[in-house]
Amino acid sequence: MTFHITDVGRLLLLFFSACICLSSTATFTGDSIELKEVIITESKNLNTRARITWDKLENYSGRRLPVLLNDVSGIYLKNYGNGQLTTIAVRGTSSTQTELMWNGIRINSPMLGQSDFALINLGFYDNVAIQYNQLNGAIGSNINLNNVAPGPGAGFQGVIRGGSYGLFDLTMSTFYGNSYLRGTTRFAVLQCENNFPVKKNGSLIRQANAGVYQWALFQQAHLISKKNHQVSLFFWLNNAERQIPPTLQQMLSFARQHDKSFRNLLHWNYEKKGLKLSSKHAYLYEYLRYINPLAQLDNVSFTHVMRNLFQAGYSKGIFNFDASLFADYEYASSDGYRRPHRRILSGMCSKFSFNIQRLTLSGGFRQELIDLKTSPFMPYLSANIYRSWNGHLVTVEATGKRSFRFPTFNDLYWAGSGNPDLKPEDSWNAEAVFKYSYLNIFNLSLSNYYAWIKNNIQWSPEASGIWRPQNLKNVFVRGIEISSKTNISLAKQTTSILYVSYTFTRSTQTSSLIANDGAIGKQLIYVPIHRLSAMAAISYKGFEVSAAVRYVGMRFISSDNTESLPHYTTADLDLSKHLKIDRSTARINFRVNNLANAIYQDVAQRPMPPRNFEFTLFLNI
Amino acid sequence: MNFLKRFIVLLFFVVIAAFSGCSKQDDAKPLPDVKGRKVWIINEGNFQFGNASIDVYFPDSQKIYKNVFKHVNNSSLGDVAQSAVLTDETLFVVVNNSEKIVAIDRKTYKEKYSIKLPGSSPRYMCLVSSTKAFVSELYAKKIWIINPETGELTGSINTEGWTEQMALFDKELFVAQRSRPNDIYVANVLVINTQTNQIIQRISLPEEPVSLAATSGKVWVLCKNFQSSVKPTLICINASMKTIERQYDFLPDDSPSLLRSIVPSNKLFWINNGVYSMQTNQDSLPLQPLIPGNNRNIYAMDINPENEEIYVADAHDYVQSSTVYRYNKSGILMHSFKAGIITNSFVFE
Repeated sequence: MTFHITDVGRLLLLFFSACICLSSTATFTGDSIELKEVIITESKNLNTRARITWDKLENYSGRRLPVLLNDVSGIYLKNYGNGQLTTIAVRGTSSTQTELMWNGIRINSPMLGQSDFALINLGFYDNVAIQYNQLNGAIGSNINLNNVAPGPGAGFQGVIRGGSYGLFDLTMSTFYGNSYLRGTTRFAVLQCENNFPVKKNGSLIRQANAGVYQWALFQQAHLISKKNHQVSLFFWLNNAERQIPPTLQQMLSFARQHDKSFRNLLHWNYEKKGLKLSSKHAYLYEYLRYINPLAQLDNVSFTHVMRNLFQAGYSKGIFNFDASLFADYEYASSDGYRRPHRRILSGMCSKFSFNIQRLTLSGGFRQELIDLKTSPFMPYLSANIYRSWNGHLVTVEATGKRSFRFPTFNDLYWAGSGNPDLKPEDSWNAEAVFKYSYLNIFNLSLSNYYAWIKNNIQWSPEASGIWRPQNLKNVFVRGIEISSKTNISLAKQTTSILYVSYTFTRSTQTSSLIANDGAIGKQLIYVPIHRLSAMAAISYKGFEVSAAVRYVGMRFISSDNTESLPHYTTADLDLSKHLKIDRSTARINFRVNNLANAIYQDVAQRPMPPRNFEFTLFLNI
Repeated sequence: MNFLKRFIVLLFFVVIAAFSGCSKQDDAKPLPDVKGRKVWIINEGNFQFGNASIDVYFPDSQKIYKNVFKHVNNSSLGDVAQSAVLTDETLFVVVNNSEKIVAIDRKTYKEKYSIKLPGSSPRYMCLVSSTKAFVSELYAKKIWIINPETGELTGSINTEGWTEQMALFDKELFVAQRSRPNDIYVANVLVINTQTNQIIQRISLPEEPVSLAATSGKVWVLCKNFQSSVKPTLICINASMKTIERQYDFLPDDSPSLLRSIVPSNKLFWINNGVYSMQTNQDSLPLQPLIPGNNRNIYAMDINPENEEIYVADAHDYVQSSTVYRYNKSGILMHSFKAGIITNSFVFE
């Protein structure tokens, strides 16, 4: 694969020129500055307390979603290598059991059921949120990528990053508009050779065939009426070409993968007094080509998806009512299918809640249809109570719900393997959450969660030797999540912040269709029991230092827990200097990833980069 | 702020607990110094997990030593141990996805050398002499010729498809050949002159070969169509005439595999949701299994030629330790034990 960067050369030149001109008039900012902070907020809406939102993603612009999740959450990501396929395992569930949403629209691949988080550039969204145990179809969680209308006026943000192993990354964003019409245009390009040294058969060699090249374009436009209407249009184009490196036990690889996606969304929103109406219509196209010359493979797959979502909400006094209807069309074609397949998914959900002083009670249900097959009735119940005094706030919440996941197209129709008789996965989830906060100084969240998952779909061989997906097992998940955020002012003109997040997860198989299955009672593969991340940052007079530490516990790679990947700890160090240039701001950043040069793998035989360096320039005009 | 201090202390303990609570599993045991007969157990491991392994079983004492290669050599065997053959001094293990053949000392378990075949996907090895061996291949449309003594690649023979198991009769090598994935249809047995390295004949098969074995003067091939419900067949080829002599039909729903033979007693064995056995002169296939399948996922079977003991391995869900069952020749269970992940063959000393 040959990468061409010349097509963005002119833009780069312009960008650099602008930076040089502006930096010649640069002055140090005085006093304290805003920390390299990802603001974590809890929704003020009492009905969605189990939502954590990461705002102010400017500092993560150009970086991929896994970097943020690794820094500030306890979520484990299954990463096949730098820039390679990255999937998520939330609270001991599988990647197909987590839904990736874009402005409220599900964008998981209907063929695979999962999403590749390595293709999600954080510079394209205004906030990222994670929701647990909501009234939706996700057994694990929802990860939400959200865009909001910019304010009136105009501005530009550019981020250029260079680093070890051929890293080059450029993300540009500009917003413009007046009171009625506003828009944002974003563009990003990423290139990385990933030719870092790896130890193979006792000798150190450069990793080959590991390059990544990606570009993306994003446009949003908003028409805002004085009569409480807002119409938004989103357009998102993504293109990625990735070489797939050999594993540590392979000599060569010539495999590569080409991903393309094209996503559109039209959103109408109306709000007046307590009434909210919303209508969303999306068209999603995804293309995947996998080429492996050694294995004689050149497979093309693509999907067309249309999603329609209608939502209504009404609040009056202590009552709150939300309802939604959805109707989706999914079409998939692949060299792996005998013919293209299509299906229609539809459904509705409704939730009613009311507040009695400090207590909020919510109840609801969800019902889905796939073609003409109905899902079971999915109820939802939640109770939330809080108490506040002198700046202290304590909240306790309990939630229970049922979820359901239909098999993917590949599960059903892969030629010679698909199993059209598969049952959907069926889950009951429960969670208790305790939260404490003191002013804006300290936040603590402690969650105890459970999930009982029936008919878990797993690919395994039949007597004929052909691999087929089957409803092989039942799974019991339970665990604890602790997260905290602390703001401390150690001295004048100094601010500091500390995030700590720890997850304990037990996810075990409780039954099986396999004879003498040694996996019963054992931890599922690739689910770490312990996961800890901590990030601390301190700033003084325009300078900022931050460090992030991530610990991932041992992960079993055999279902009877006889083989495992060892635990690892990585640390990153980040140094920044903020500059004020007239009305613009800039930040120069130097980052060391994997400071201690840890040798580790998230996926067996897929090495992750050793110590590496990045230099980044942020510019806001 | 007292609460804050307490919280920080609590966090500190959580961190310490998290870091100290994990330790790497270690299945290293003392090296086997047991005298007596030995069975090498080849564990394929998971594709791209790099966890292929070798266990050693001593039938007399019923002792099993796991992962001996890694224990002795302090390195992984590789990715997907496809097959193995034994010589007087060396065990050659064909490591498919690592594109190599590892030569291991029979007594010390130490790696002697590796024969690297870059860009290949080797499957089976057949020794013709101490200095010449043929290696079949999945993707590269070649049969490799190597010198096992020096570890050198000495040549190759072009083929049309995916070559599998081999049987040697004097100077002629019979090789099962089937279609490569996503490629033209191929279903035959190649006959190669081992002195000239030339393909001298192609014996057409009714369907693609899935397994091959040899008895006195005969080559037996299990054939199966993977795309339709055509009946699988067992084909008998006369090795000297190079023609199909007999054909046995299975039922359409049958899925036979792992054809094995005992040359002195002219017996055949195979798996078809259970272990089946028949004499080579029988007119029809047996209806009852010698050993019932019992809902097991039997992925390996080999017969000890000395005493006709039958070793089968249940791979379960393919991501856990296999269970090995050792039966006597009447199909009575003698011993069962755990082996590595995806046991695919047994090699008898």
